[in-house]
Amino acid sequence: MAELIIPAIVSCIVAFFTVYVATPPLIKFLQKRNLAVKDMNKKDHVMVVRPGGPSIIAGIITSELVLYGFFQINEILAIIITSFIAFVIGYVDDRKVMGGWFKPVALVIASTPIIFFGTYDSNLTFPLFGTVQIPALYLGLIIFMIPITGNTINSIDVLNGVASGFMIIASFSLSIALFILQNYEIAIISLPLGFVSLAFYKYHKIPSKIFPGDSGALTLGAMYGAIAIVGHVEIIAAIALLPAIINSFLFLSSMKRIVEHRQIKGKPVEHTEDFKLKATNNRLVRLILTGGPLSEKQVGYEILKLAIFSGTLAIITAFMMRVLI
Amino acid sequence: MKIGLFGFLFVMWILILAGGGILVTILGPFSISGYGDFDLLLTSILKAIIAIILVIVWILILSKLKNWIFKKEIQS
Repeated sequence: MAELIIPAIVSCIVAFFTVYVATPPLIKFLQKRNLAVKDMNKKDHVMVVRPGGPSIIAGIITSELVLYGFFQINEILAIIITSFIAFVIGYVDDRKVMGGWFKPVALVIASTPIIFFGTYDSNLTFPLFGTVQIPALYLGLIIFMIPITGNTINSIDVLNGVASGFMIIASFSLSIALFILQNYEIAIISLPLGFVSLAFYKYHKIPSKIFPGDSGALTLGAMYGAIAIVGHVEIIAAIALLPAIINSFLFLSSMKRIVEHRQIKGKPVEHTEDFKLKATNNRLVRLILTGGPLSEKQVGYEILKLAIFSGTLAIITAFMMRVLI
Repeated sequence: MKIGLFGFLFVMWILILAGGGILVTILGPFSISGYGDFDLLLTSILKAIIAIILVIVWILILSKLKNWIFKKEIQS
């Protein structure tokens, strides 16, 4: 355990400072290129640059390569390549609005490194009840998991700071769960995700200076999914992600089809006179607003509170994994 | 928001735990024999179908629950 402390500290520092240092020049670069979109929830005409994906993927790759220098295991390579493919898919979508099916289908390719490197265990472990062997089904699960986690994080990226803030909570919950399950190597491999999100949150929190874009959100989501698979903590990972999963399910059930959110017609958000959020086509936000209009900051905090709640349930689940009835 | 969404999350968690129990105790040991080389394939297909049905039931229960919780919240 002691020999893992130095790689953990070094990789976390590299992850945090790569994003922390790389994002301001990226913001300037994007401003020069005029790659900005209107922030829909601001009273004034505020333009915010996007995508922040390049600094996020830089943080992930450098920190994971540092870890690869310490332990040469295929799990790290699988995570790096999966995250990078997701970044490329997201970047294509950032530059050119693709159809609703593009991201889910293309993200299947991002799941192939996990299969290629054989960095998975086809036993699915449940709390209290033990494991179930599903060799054929598990391959299907891997193919679905990366598109689901990628798109789920992408779909919760609706307000300033929410995607990165949510990812900080979910990924640290997953890391704690991995430590509880004594899967120390994967726990350390998962830490950079939280630190990358934390550094990006500094620029993404309200009022945002940069949006992650599809490239940033898909990278974070795909890396999260890859960690869940290589760490054999799929169920715990799903529990920590529950608020975002609710959002995706409600969105899909209301649209009745897979659709790119930028292609939805009509006003995405309705505001009160004092510019509080009144109604929105985002389903989780809509449920939060059943009690009445709230400011963007208040809604963001409510989503993060839900993330903390589901993160706590995920950690409790990790303890329950060690108990069999 | 009160406790509506937190309650909803909690019920989702309980349903995941219960679903896990069903998968491990019923679906796990389940196998088909008598079809030679196709045994594994048929078993996998049947397990996949049952798993998909479970997920659909899970979504239906949650959908009803969501409507119930939020109707109650709007009324109060």
